[in-house]
Amino acid sequence: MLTTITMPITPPTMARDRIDSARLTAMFATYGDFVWRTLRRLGVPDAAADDGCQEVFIVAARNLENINASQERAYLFGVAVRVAGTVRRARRRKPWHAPSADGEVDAEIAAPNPDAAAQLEQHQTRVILDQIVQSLDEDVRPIFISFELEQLTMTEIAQALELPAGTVASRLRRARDQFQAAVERHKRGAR
Amino acid sequence: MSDPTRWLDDNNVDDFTKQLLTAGRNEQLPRKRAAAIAAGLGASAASSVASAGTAWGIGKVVLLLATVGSIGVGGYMWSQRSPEAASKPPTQTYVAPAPAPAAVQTPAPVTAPTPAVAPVAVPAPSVHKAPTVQPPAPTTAAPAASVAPAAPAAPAAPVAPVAPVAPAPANDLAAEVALLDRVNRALNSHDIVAAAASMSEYRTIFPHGALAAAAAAVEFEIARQQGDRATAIARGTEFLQQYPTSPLRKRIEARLQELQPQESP
Repeated sequence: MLTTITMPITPPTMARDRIDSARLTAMFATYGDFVWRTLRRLGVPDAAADDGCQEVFIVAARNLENINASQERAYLFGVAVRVAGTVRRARRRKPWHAPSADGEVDAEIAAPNPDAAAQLEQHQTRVILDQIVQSLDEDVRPIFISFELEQLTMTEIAQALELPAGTVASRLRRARDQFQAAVERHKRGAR
Repeated sequence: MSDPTRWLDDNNVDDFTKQLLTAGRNEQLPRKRAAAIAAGLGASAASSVASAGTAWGIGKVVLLLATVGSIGVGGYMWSQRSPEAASKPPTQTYVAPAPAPAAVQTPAPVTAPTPAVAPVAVPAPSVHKAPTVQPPAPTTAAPAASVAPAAPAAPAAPVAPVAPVAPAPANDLAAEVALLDRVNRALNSHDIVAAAASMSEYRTIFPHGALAAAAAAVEFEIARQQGDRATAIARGTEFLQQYPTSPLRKRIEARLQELQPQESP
């Protein structure tokens, strides 16, 4: 266990490095998908999501000492929201469009395998999800995806976004109303 | 704060909405791309150190090189993640792996996307800068590298590699990081002779090290700072060929352009 580490030979700096190294490794293995997914749902295009994910963990690496171990996920979420905002602003002249259901498909998804049909269906469902999420107001979007998809607590969201609890609650209500309205529009359009 | 019932747990929410949320929640970063991100992260951190000169404090050098090592292992872990594990939603519980072979010295997969955006400077959320920093919880156990007896930073005698991709013990990775750290300290002190000597030592001890991309970027930087334009151009060009999807590509390209002779008007 980490708390029982004894390194009589290792210099203190090296010991600290190893602990940081192990912690960052664990963070990346545990939350890599979460960060990448968050970026995608926040409108970062597929082609830019990998770089964005990398950027989030670089920021985390530089601030590792200041990240409370019990708040890693919330911390990464906060950074991901900021990175997504930066990417979106950089691409404002070229607005992001959700990929069409029969268009962009990841190479791994497109690869022939027994589950291809199911994966394609999942992909198409996510395209619809992304279109609906992108229709939400920008200020409510992170709150909706973090609460409903990523299951962060309201407290974690408030901390990560540096917002009062009441604001988070009211934005979640707005997000839900907008999401439900968009779902209804989609259903009407599909008929 | 009392949380409302999530829609996925709410019987009053329609199935279509739940289907949408579930599809989003289950999405996973493709493994090959995850491995590329991890490998790229390591190279990026090392190059930041190598290229930033004295603007980087020693502490940052150490931390970023720690990043290099950890992401190297992380990249391996990502690349080895089983499909079953990949299909599971992320959890907060992390199970430390067995000592990981440091096998991420291969370039990022060619299927990895070319970096589309430049790294962006993002302020960290201030809310987490509370003074009550807690050490990592015991459940987020460190890989074996953290508990293994310390490895010498530089073995006295060069060790000839037996196989090009022979798995290295995790503590070798720590030694590799330490040696690259020494190179970068010398670079940041503008002690190019010492940097080159340490780099030579690195190449002798770790001819097929896990941090190959980072090492290649550092070698390019050494040649550049030495004023050895021809070697720098050769190394930079080789880097671009070997690591075409590296996040460092743009940076190396920019430096290579600076090294090109200016055309007289």
